[in-house]
Amino acid sequence: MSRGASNGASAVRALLGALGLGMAGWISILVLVAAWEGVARSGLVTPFMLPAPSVVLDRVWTDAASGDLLNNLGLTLYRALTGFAIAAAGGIALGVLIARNRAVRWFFDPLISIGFPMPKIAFLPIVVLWFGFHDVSKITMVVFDAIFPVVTATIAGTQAIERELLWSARNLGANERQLLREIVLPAALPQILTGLQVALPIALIVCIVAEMTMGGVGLGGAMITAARFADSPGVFAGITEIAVAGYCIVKGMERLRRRLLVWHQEALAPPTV
Amino acid sequence: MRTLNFLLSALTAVGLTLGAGAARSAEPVKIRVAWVVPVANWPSIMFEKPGLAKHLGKSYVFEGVRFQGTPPMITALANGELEIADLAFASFALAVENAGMKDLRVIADEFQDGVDGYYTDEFFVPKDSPVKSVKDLKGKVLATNAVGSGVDIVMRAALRKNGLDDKKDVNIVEAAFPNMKAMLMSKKVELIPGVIPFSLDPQLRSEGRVLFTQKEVVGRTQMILWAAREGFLKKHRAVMVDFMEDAIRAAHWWLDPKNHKEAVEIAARVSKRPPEAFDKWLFIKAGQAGDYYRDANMLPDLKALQENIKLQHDLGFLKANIDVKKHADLSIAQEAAKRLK
Repeated sequence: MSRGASNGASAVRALLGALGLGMAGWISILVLVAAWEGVARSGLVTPFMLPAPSVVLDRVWTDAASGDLLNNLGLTLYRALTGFAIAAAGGIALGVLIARNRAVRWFFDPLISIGFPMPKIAFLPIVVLWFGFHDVSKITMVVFDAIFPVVTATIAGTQAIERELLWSARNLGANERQLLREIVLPAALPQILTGLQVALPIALIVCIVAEMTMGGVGLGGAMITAARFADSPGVFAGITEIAVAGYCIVKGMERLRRRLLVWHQEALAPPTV
Repeated sequence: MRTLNFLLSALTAVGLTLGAGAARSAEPVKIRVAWVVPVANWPSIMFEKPGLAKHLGKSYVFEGVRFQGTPPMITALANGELEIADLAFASFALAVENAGMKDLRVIADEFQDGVDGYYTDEFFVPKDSPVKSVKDLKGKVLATNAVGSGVDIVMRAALRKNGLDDKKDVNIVEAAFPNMKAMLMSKKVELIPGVIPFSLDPQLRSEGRVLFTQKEVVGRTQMILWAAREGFLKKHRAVMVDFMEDAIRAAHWWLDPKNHKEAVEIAARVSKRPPEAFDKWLFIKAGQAGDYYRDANMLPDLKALQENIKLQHDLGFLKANIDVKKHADLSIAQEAAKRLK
């Protein structure tokens, strides 16, 4: 075999191997779906209790064709990502301040300690009372829930910066703004991004729960409407749509992390998420 | 000797098992009955007057189960957590058509809306609201007790009859009936359904304005009915006749004007509200100042129910129409009523 043919064969083997490895990760999902279809069609349960995945996928398709899916998904993502963006910006700023300023730390430390473990969804009735039933209350709930992991991760990342880095920068004449931009944020970035990766699915979950409670348009509202109309395929279709949307944005966040940390030693290691 | 001991032990075990089985079959049957609104729904008060339920504790035990609205009762029926659901006409149709409960049967009347001389549900906006017609509700937030409930379907019917898309043109939020007045007064929502007793609140009547009534939108309604699954009815028919006999005896007592004062006192005790809150309307025929129509023998209006479900289908809320007669079993209520003659 010539060298070219040999290289081509190796490339094909490598590609098949990569595809095989990629497919292997989906085998468990396929097995679950196949089992679901089997149980649903076996007659052990009624279609009301467990509609078949083929029926559910058909509903997803119907929702997509009618424009309902795009409308609901768009609204949910708008609310979740807007709240996440506010939580990210506010959380990073607050976290850096808490880590670097004793007075700010003294003030906020008890609030973070009490607020973090609290089930903040319990505040939903109050948020609705103050902000009404439209987007503002849903986005407020998202910010309220998502900001805590960002703040704590930013604090941890900022406090873990080697002092020698900071001293060296100061010795070279860096002012506070330069210190923050050139040293603190880049050094703390891996942990900040970890905090953001934790906050992002929280933002989506809280948004959907708020929609389910308040009703109206959005994936959560559509699901609860389906439930009330005894429309099981609609409920399961909503779950499927939420699962796919969640998977896509988590994977998107993972790629963003790899791009932002291309300079970091973790970029050399294989992804774990 | 050893063999004899073994035989004696085996016989004792068999005897105990058979005895336990016999004891179990003699135990009263548990009948869980759903309700939503205290006092306005029979299961919340009907046996509060001692002596009315002659078979209670003997052939059946009764448990009233509260729900926020009628649609969640469908799930409870499907899970076997409820024997009799207090369904709205809309939820009954959803249970049969969407949830596939082809064995669900209408067995009794709870109350009817829009009967001449009796109360019909009202839908309120704030008195100073710029909303003057249903069309003006576009872009507003509306309250419902539960999506898919009777008043919810009526509200959506009103929207659709006026050219509005109930999914896109308005935002419908769920709230418990007792909280709706506060939400309306604080302008959190623009429209609330008014059901007895909440619609008779003096503050709501002075600071709210009726935009439309249920009768104007859908006519006479078999608003709430009792429904049970055929399997349970067949297995426990005799017990169900006992239960319905007690329920109808209770309905006769509560509806008798001679008992009005005592009825009001019991209603006040059960709901923890003052008697004045019930005195002028409870079980009284007085138009919009009185109560819903309740059949004394708890027999539903199947003709009205059929028309209500047909409207539900025509407006697109139901995939297919339902022949109500095929899903009704009034023989139990009729047999029970005969016992009281």
